[in-house]
Amino acid sequence: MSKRPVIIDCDPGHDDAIALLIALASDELDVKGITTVGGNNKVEKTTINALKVLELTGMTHIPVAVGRSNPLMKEIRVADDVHGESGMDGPELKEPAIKPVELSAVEFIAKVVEESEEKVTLVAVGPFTNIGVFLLSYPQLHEKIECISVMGGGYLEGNRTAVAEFNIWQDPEAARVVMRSGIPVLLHGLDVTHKALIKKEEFSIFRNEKGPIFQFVADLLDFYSICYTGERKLEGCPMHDSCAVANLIDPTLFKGESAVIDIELDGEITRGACIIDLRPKERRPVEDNGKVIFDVDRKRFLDLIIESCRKLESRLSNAQ
Amino acid sequence: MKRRVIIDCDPGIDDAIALMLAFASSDIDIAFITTCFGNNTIQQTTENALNLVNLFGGNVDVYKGAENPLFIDRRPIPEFHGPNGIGGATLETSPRKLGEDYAWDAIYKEAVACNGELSIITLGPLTNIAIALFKYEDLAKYIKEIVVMGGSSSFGNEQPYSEANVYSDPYAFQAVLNAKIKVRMVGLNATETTRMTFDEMKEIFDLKTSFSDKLAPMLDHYLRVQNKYGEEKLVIHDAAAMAVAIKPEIAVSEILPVSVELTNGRMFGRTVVDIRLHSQAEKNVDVVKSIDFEAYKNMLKQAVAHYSA
Repeated sequence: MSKRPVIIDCDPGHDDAIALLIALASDELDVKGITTVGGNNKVEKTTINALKVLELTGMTHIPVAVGRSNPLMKEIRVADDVHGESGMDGPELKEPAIKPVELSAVEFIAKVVEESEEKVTLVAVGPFTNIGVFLLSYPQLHEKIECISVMGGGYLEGNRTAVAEFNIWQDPEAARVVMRSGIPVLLHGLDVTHKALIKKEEFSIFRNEKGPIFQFVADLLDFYSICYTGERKLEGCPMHDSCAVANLIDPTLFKGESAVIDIELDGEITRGACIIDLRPKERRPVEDNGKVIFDVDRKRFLDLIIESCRKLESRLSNAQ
Repeated sequence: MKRRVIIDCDPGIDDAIALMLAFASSDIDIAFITTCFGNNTIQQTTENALNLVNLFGGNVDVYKGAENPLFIDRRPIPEFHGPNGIGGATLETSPRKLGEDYAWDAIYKEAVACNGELSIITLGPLTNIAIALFKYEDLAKYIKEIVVMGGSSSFGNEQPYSEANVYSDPYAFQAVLNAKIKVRMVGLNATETTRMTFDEMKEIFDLKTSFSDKLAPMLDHYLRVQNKYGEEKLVIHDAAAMAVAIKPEIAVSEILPVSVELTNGRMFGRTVVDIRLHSQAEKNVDVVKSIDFEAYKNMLKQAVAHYSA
């Protein structure tokens, strides 16, 4: 079977970094490029973090394209409370020597999609600004997108407000463009990502392994857990963004339901919330536009993360 | 020196009269025309634009733009301009082909080439400009000014307080305001000062031109529909905005804080103009308050004379 071509649009970000590792290690995915966006931190910082992850894995042939700095209609509001000042605090990686490509993220996505013989899958694990602009400005390329695998939203719960999850809260207008594009959406919201934990007692699995990849993940988890096992009272670190990648590698890890997914733009207290219509089909106003993931086989999901690290480690040692 | 401009439009009967003015003007140099959904579907407004350029003997390209507003559903086509958007007039099919780029890409290329000397005149929803600004983060610095037919500091038309172009895509106009480009807004409060009688209209279009028989049904239709809504006399909104774009000195304006209501209620798409500066908001838009009616009528007459010569 040929590898599935994907572009990963992200804002690393601790969980973004681990999602990137899984994608880069995978035999199922052909990572055509990484595009960065302002979200967890400003795009200048998320770009540096993406470049650092690529350098760490030695996969520096994969292009990185810099995306939009601000959401479509507002100024960015970063999440340094979760991800620290650099957007990926914790691990000490050297400043990257590699550089992003000249094309903007939006132009890069368009070029890859245009040149690809197969349909391309977009993995959107940051705010949807780049993807939104791509969809608005390249209507002729919609038909060449296989699906958009998203980390964002949720059925009932939010994390930035009671009902709005960060990626959608940051740029609800762009998220609506994605949901209304007619391209199938695979939505990994907080319902599933809060189950996709690496539990605190499992951090040692990574720390006890030798090699820079495992140590990098262990450093990420240590910092990321300050917020999540502290004020957010989870048992460990939610691997939000990894869900959107892992589902493309092994769909048997996840369970979900077909639904109508839309985004609230207006509500005084519900702006940025996902509206997931799970009522009986005849009550839904339009055709279903995606699948909402609710459950993950956590044990096998964790195995996939560990296995991905192991693969990357062995690639690194073979290269030496 | 002629000012280089792009005209973004959704023809539209008043767009047609605006284009008539533009192609007769020796003050502006039209780079090309871009089209947007609005008075009709993008297919129809684009076909109309191509044929209108041909009708007025314009030697410029037409680039197709947005089919839908940015984030909301497109509303049903308004009946205002007739089924084909130009009051049922049948125009000769233009021999000219549509430009290959999308409107937003053509706009960006031209703006960069003009290096800060390009003005844009918009006669429809602002969707194309917003997409261009979203896609090209450095575009704003290359645009000298945008003259917008849209919004209002007083009453609306499609809604009690919302004007049709802004109401068609409220987010797009706000995105343009966010980009901090110099905007001159010719809203309904301003176009109202150009309201003309039927006799005045007849006098303006009295001279025979090669397209008299095409304009007649458009103007008849437009007048009929405006009168149906209880407005005696005629306002040709886009023509008034075009006149201001061509001769800025015929308008009286004031720089005021303007923002667009984006909550989708009864005020959706209202341009809130803070006339008395109650808010501390930045003065960001040059809001036209009135247009010299005699000067405007003369421009229209001279344009007709230009074609009849």
